[in-house]
Amino acid sequence: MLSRFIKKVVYLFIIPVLILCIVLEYSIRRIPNDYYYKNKWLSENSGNLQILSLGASNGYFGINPEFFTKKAFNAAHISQSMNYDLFIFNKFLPSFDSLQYLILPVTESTLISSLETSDEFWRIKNYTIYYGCEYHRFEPQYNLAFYGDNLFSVLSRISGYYLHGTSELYCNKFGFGLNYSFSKKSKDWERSGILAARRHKKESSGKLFNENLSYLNQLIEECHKKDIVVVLLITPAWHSYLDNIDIKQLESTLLTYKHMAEENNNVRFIDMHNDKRFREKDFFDADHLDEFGAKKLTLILNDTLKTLGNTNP
Amino acid sequence: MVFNSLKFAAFFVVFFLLYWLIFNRNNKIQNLFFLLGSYVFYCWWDWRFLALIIGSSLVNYLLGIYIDKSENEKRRKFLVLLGLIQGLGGLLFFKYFNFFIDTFISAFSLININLSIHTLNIILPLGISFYTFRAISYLLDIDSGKIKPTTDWVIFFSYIAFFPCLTAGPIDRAKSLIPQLEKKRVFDYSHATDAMRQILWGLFKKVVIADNCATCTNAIFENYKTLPASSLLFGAFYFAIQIYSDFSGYSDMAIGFSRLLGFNVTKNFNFPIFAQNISEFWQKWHISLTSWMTDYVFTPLSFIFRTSGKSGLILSILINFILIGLWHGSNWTFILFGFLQGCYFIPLVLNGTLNRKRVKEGTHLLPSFNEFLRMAGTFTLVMLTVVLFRSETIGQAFSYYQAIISTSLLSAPKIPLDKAVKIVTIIFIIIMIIVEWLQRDKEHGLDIENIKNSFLRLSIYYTIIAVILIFAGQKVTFIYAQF
Repeated sequence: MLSRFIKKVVYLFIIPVLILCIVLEYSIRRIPNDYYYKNKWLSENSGNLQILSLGASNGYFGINPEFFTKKAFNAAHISQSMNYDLFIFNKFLPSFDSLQYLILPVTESTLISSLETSDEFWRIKNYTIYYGCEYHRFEPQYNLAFYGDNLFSVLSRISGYYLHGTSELYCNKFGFGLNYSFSKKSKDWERSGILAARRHKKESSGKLFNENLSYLNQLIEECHKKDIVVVLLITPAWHSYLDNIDIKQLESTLLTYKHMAEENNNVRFIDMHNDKRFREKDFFDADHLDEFGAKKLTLILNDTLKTLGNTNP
Repeated sequence: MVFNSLKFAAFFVVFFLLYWLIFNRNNKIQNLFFLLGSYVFYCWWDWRFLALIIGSSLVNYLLGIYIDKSENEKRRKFLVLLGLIQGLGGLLFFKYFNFFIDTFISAFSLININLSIHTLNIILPLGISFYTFRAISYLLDIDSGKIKPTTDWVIFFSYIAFFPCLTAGPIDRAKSLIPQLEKKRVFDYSHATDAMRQILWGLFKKVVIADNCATCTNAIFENYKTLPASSLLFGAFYFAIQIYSDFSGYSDMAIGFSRLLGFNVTKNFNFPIFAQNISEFWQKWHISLTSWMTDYVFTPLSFIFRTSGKSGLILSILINFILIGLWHGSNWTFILFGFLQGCYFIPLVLNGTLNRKRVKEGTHLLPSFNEFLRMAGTFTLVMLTVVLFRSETIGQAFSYYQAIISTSLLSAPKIPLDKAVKIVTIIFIIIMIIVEWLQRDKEHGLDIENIKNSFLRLSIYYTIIAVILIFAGQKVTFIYAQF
């Protein structure tokens, strides 16, 4: 009876589903995406890279390395938390022979959030599969490229790429995110500030804060050894975001960043949250820049970096 | 490790094979392995709380034996009280401590006294509300002579940590589960195949209906201030369906996994969306909790208030439902939810129809017009109160209610979501309702053993699997797992 049941389940359900999964996994993995591209680019070019930018979406859509005069690359990804910033940095650290600046866009929630606890946790698979990250190597779901998507979107992605040539690369050759363009801006983009501020408001977690602080300290220490200047950057935001932000959370994080800059001579802290040079046309939504804003921010940073000097004071 | 995860699938396949192929020589080995599996399941969530569940099991195991042995009435009552303090104390601390502190501070601030008491950063242990209720009912049933305590610690510890029902019930009583643990389980083919069907139906309800409803619910509740009232009504509808399909889907899976291991656990839902009054609704919704509360709270209360007539009955119902509300979570929204559910019973008590047996709807294809009206009315009443379930504060819930009462109730609903998601969700909700209506006298929605054509049965399974794979919504945590 038991063997009949097992045979039936295996032959009729498990094997067909497994075959389907293998085919889907193989097909999805062959589609180049941002993670694949950035890992490949860094593997091939980190030796002569001078400016590296990490961080989450505010960095991904906010810094376009095309406008730096030095050789730069943006290795930020949506919802990338500090542990993954550290992972990417450490992975390529041995080959960072020319790196002078590490730009780390931060927010008031960076130190109290992690990809693992966010709604975007399914992105963890990309670090395991494309960057070879070991954090979740033994968790099966984070080793599957189709994890997080239902079959409908997996099939759409496969047919999009193989039949219509739709690319899944959403960044330019410098790693800058292209999806938040001015032309795609929604009509009620201002209102996004309320939602974004709410999204970024986190329950303070001492454990997460200490972990993130430790990752940040490790980054700073490694940079110090290689004479790399770390720039902690708060990117511009629109007033609808700033008006709804958790002030207590913001103040305590700002204090931490300022303290880090004071304590470490290779750290600079730049707060551009309320920078009046950024106008309506520079924003995609209340807490992300569009391509015009990103160009403006990168050019400002380019000038600022010149004044900082390229080695530790 | 939730049921709809790869981790659980891998765990259960390995456990199932070892359980039936290796550890099935006798009942003792089966139980020992089952207990080990339950603890592995628990540790996967957070190993630090393993000591808590073992400690609680040990205390209740010993108390059960001593209560039974004790011939002195006072001593018996003292031991029962000790058990209640241990169980409810743990529950109060882990689940309600911060709520009471916050309420205390707020109450004093009303009279301008600012207390500086700090809340604690407490993690709610997995399934504590469920296993505590299991342990309490065990002690109370021994005290009232309904059951004899088990002297086999493996059986008792397995009963408390029963892993298929550990996360979110059903809350099985010792009377039904312990005798099953005392006998060697034998694999039953037809039982197992039906269990697989029940799991498949539960999975469909969870990942297709509940998770897609969650997307719609979130889009509406997050933007309720800017949406027309008709959309907010849809928001309440989606959430009512979400909570039903999430929890009943979970229960179907829990019952299915238990059946695969040879256990029969309590049916937790009996198609409550077809209930024709609120009393019937609560007899069909979260049955294991409602019957637990009826036996250990409502019945003793109605005995206490028996001399007060209808007002005593109403008071018992209100207290019972406030506690049911509070059981769900440490928030005033749950208390008000329970209170309103209790209030819904008042007309039934006043006109004497509370215990009237309704003629069961027949096997006819469609409900009569009157039946339909009663079902829609009951569902609407429940739907309106689940807004409290979804809101973070009472203020937020009232602001939602306020926004519903407007002229825009008659305007076309607007939901800030992709049209495809809205259509898919509505279509599958309709399919689920139709299937459950047709299957309403069966054990679960996919109880199709009566279909003799195996090709047709197989086609139904494949269709459901395809629907699950294609239309699964974004993964959302089981709502009741947080209680």
